[in-house]
Amino acid sequence: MNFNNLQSEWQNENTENVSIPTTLEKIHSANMPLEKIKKNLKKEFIYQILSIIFIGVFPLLYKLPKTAYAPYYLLFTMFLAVCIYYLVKLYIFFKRLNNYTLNTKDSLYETYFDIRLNMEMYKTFGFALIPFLILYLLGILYNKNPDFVSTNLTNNSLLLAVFGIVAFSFLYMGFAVEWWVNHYYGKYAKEIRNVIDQLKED
Amino acid sequence: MKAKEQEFLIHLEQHKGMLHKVSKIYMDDKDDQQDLFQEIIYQLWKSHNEFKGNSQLSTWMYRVAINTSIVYLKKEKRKPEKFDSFPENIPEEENDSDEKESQLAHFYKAIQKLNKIEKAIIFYQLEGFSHKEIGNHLGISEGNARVKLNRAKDKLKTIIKSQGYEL
Repeated sequence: MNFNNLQSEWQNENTENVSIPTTLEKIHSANMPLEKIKKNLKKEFIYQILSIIFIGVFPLLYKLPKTAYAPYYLLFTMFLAVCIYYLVKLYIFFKRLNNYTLNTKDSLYETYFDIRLNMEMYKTFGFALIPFLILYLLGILYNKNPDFVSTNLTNNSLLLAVFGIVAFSFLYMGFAVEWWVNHYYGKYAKEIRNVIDQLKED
Repeated sequence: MKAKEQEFLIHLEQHKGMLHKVSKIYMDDKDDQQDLFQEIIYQLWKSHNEFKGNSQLSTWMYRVAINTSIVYLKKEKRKPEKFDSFPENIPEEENDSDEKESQLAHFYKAIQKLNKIEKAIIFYQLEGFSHKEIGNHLGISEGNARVKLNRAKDKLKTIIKSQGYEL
């Protein structure tokens, strides 16, 4: 292959008919990894808010006893504080711009670490919700079967039930969050990691 | 239209050929090339305020165009890459072209099979950049750029030969 010939043909390639937009108002970004992640986060943000509203009105919908309101809403307030903290953090994190003006290696590393950081933040958010899930499940157990709790306070049945709830909560949230994050965000990180590896010295 | 936007569009007009070639190197499908071309313009426009004038505007444009193309994700709704149908995706005027354009068509077809970094290296080489400049743009050493360039050229040569063509 004569690269010099190819180079001169390349440089003489006619690109006069290429048209550029007459205005920049209507163009937008659609297929960049961080844009896709932002879109996913926006959707999840809406679902999170709907879930919070549902959990907030749950005692009214299912007519919980009045005595349960105080502990329920105390728990709900803490749950709300944790959700707001993480949602605001994720929102602020993705408001900042990505930098494509650095050299390729630095730009790729920056994008990669942004995605990884988002993934870790998301996982921490999931794990921070585990205690609430445990307490909600214990509350449901007590509400559905108060006798079970009072009659088994001194034997192993209650202990086993609590252990079951704790184990279920950890396993469920652990697997669910891990799967969710890897499925929706991990693929972008993996693809960029592959390109970074292509830059390494052989 | 704002003066800033007008000025940017003038620069864009001057460099549209380069941006179009980057799109053709990274995407084989014409619609995908158009999408990538627009994405590059968007990223250039979005970050043009950050351009401090420490380097030439064209150098900065090369960098943003290549970085955008490397991380750009192809639209999922379209069919997967199908190299056999590539000539159909080349603009009409190139299909009826002379020998030279046919060579370029084979080159564009072959380069689709290189990885994203190899594509960038070949692109910079064709645009006349030295090994040192290629290294600076990619953030790798001059030696590494030279080794990778030679490998990419060999790979390209093999692919073109396997297509039954020799440049």
